[in-house]
Formats: sequence, C-alpha cells, structure tokens
Amino acid sequence: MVSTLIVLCATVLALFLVGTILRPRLPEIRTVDDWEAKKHEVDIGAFRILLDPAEERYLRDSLSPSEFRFYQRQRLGLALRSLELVGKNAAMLIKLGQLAKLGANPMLAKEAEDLINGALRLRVNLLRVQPYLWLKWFFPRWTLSLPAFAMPYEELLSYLSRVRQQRQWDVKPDLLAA
Amino acid sequence: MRLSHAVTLVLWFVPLALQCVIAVVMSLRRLTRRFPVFFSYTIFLPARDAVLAYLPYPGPRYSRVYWWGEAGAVLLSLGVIAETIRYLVAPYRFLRVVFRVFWIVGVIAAASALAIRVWSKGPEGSDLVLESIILFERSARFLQVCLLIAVIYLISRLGLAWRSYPVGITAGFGIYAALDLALLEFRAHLHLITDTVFALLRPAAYNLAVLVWTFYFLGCRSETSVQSLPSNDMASWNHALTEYIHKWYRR
Repeated sequence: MVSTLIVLCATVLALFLVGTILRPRLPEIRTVDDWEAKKHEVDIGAFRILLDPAEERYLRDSLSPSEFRFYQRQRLGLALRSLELVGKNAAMLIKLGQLAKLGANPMLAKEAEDLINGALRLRVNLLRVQPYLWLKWFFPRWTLSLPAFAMPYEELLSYLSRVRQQRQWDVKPDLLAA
Repeated sequence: MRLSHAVTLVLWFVPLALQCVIAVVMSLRRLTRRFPVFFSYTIFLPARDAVLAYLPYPGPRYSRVYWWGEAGAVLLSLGVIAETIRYLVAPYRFLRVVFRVFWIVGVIAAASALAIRVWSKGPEGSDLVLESIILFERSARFLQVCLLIAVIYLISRLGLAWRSYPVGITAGFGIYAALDLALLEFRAHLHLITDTVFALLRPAAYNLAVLVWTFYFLGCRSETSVQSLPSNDMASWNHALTEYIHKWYRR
C-alpha cells in the first residue's frame, strides 16, 4: 500500500511538473522591445524595506505578537512576490541571451553567454532564498540569516551596466562624426 | 468488439506515422547529431512495431520481440533523459554541480525505492513470467519518473522552460512515464484494470507523448537572432540589494 501511494504521488507530481513546463507562464520574448514591454518593474527600495532587519525589530518591539505575525507575513508575502518577478525577469533575460547567441556576432554571443550565466546563477540562488523566506513566513518571529545571493545579481547587473557603457561608447563616434 | 479493434489500430498507427514524420523533420533540421539517443528512440519503436505487424500474434516470437523491445525502449528513454540534461547543462559549468547533486540524490532515492518495491512483494497471478516482467518494468518506470521529476523541476525553476526541443522531449517522456507507471500499478499491483483496458490505455498514453513531441518538433519555429542586448537601470537595484545582504550578514 505504501509503495502504491509512493507511485501515485510520483505520478501526480510528474504530471503536475509537466504541466508547469508545458505552460511556463512566461511571456513570449522575441526582441529587445518585447523585453522592454514585458519586464517587471520591481521596486528595490520597497523590497529593501520589506526585509530590513531594523524594520523587523521595530515592528516586533512596537506591535503585539499577533499583530507582528500578521504584518510580518504581509511583508514577507510581498518580498516573495518581488523575488518571483525578479525570477521572471531573469528567465526573460535567459531567453534574450539565447536569441543573441543565435547570431553571427561573436562579441554579442560572448556577452549573451555572460548574461545567461548571471541570470541562471540568480535563478539558482532564488531557489535557495525563497524556501528561507517561506520558512520565515511560517515562523515570523524566527530570526535566521540568508545565504548570499547578492553576488550573482551583482554580476548580472554589472554586466548590464557594462553593456550600457558599451552602447554609450558606440554612440559617441556617431556624435563626433555629426 | 469492432470498435475496440479500430481504436487499437488507430492507437498503433498514429504514433508510428508521427514518429516517422519526427524522424524526417529531425534529419532535415540536422537535429540527429544534437539528440542522437532521442533520434534512435524515435526510429527504434516504429521499427519494432513494424516488425511486430508481420509476426504471428499470439506467439513466442511476437512476445520475445515485444518484451525485448520494451526493455530496449526503457534503456533508450533513460538515455534520452541523460542526453536532455547534458544538452541543457553543458554550456553552464556551475550548473553541472547542481545537476550532479540532483542526479546523485535522485538515483539514490530511486534505487532505494526500487529495492524496497522489488523485495516487498513478488509477482502473483496466473502468468508469473508476465507478472514478473510487468513488475520489473514498473520498477524501471518508477526510476524514470523519479529522474524526470528532478529534471523537470530544475527546468521549471531555472527558467529554462521556453519552447524548445529538450523541453518538448522531456515533457513527452514525463507524460508517458507517469501515465504508464500509474497503469502498471493499477494492472500489476492493484489488479484494478483488466488486460484489455490495460492494452488500450497504454498505447493511448504513448500517443499523448508522441503528440507532444510532434507539437514541439513540427511547431518550433526557427527563431531570429537579436542584434543587441538590453540595458536598464538595474544598477541601483544591485546597490540596494548588496546593502541589504550586508545587513543580513551583520545580524
């Protein structure tokens, strides 16, 4: 009976997961314009406040335990939603990177490779962070530290700023010529 | 009775034809080098079915070809999982470690469950050989489903679930392996379905998988390359995020 239950659970889980990859709930990305139109704007300031330990301490000291649990869960819920959107942005960047690699431009392909690596690292780290935040959601008064996930995003973002700088350099000769 | 025969015929012919089409498409698009094991699988099963069509049924030769074919198909499908994962992971060195850990955990978990399942209950019923084969196949399918769960979970969580050939291949195998495992459980362990129903539903599950592969292999349009990569204001994001992480570390 136990083995039957295991088998049926595995079956249901496999079918559910197949459903998630057949309908990945990711917008279609074919061009950079698609990315610009479909990317999610995540307010990092709000995200920072939501998970600020000082804010958390202040709330813990000023609210009753039940109120604290309620508001902390609200904050964590929003933080998790932000991370979900950041994850979707990373997935869209992966797709753009894959499309850029199709071209014949080796420099662009190299940049795309870096972009994909950064975005994938971010997704891996989100896999580590999100369970922690869920744990905190279930036990709001529990204080625990997070694994590092700043570096990958840092890499991804610094890469993007490098691209922007590169673009500016590309534009300058045009301006000089004009 | 005639309807049942017609359904059986359709369920036999549709995947045979579609897999031949997939094989042709793969050859034309030069995908045979990228997915050699899946291509072999796509060729192998129609070839076995074509051979079976010329063998007398029921008979020992038919049975031998069928069950050896099943064993070969299971082995090839395990190879396809490995091929898909290699295709997805190979370009990203850091992911290989993550996937290796998942593989090890998955294989250990599946092997343990497999051992428990094999030792817990032996074959029973009138045809012990057939029951033994079905029990063995059920165990192999269980292993396959465990591996597919790990692979599909990672594809989904890493944001790689864009419409592509490896995703289609994995999804098709996921559907078939899961449904087949459930059917084998209902037939061999619980004895809830008859041989006739089992013989109809099993190819139906396989038809579903072939339809998914067809959809992906015929439906995947060639994509055009983008000429630039986006820039945005995420540098401020990065700064704030790093600041936040440092706060966490100071706790």
